[in-house]
Amino acid sequence: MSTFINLLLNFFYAFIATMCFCILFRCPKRAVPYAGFCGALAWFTYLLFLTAYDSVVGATFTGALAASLASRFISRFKKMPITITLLPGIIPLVPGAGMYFTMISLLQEDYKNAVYKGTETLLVATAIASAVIIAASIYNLFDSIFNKNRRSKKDGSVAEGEE
Amino acid sequence: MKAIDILELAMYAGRIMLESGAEVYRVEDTVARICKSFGASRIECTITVTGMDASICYQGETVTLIQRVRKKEINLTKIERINQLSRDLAQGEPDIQKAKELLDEINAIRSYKAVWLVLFSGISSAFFCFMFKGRIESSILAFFTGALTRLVLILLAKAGFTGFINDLAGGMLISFFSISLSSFFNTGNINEIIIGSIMILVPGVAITNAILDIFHQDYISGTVKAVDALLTIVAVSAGVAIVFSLSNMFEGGFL
Repeated sequence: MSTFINLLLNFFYAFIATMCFCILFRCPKRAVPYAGFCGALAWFTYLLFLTAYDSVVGATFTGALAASLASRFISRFKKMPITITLLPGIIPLVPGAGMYFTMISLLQEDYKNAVYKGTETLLVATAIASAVIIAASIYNLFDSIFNKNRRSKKDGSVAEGEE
Repeated sequence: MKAIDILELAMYAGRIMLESGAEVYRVEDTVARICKSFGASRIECTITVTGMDASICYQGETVTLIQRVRKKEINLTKIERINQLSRDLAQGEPDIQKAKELLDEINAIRSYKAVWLVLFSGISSAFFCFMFKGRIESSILAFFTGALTRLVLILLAKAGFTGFINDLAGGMLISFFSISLSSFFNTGNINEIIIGSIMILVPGVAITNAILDIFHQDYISGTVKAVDALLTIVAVSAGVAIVFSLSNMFEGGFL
């Protein structure tokens, strides 16, 4: 029970932190709550799977997948380019602290820890990027299966600028 | 309307998007779409984060244009507005003169006022501190560390410090404020404060975008972005480490 409350609290923290980042990125105002939701969802999923996988990279991948799928559907229904929800949405997952620890270990000549942290950072960044790409493929697949009729009616001009 | 007018409009839109932090493939797409909507044919453009060149053929005339691009701060509103404009252009809505005026208007959009940037840097630092299992007193100090760092960085940027020096100063400020605040109030954990507030400086998004570009086969842009991110993180952590070792020296002993 307390873990569940902890998860909800973390959802809230990530929501606020992501929305603040939206201001720093000068996100359009109407997109701010949606972007915050994407970030919160990413962090929530990350924490949920971190206990199950016990692997930072795997959990990050799942979190990024959830966030980018959510932002893809939001950008479709709210008609805005995906960048403006996706970029703040992955903020909670990006390996900022990892990069910092890598460099600090290097400066302290603790090369073992630096290699460990550096590899993890690189893998986390790659996991986020591949999750974004895979989410795009899943979305396109969904789009082509469920929206064939709508697409053909509008003469193929749907979803311009959505990608 | 000549070919050069169309190309100049498209390149202007592309330049604003690149400066605001849009992905390379999206910029290529937008430039091509704007040219197409005016009826140009044989549109070719190669775009990297540092420069773009494109050539189009319109009414039997072929023109080529090269544009140097320099990085500015991320501005998602500009990206959204240009995306909307390019869709309107595809519907044939504004003519070329009106579109140029609209682009001027979009280019004039600035980021939010410094007060808001300072405040929200502080709040996001505090909540990142919570997310990394920081205690409440660390989080409160992280708020002040983040806000004060952002404030000084904005002042430094106004004085003309940019790039590497600004990042170095950012790292130094973060560790300076976190060490002095936590020793002054005699509470909070320095590590927790630094991890929370360093999130506003480290280029996590840049490194992810770099890998994303490489996956999109934009190898040059990806490499350039990765180098940029690497320089930033080296500067930030060097700044943190310098102040750390200085403070340790005063207390006797090195890192």
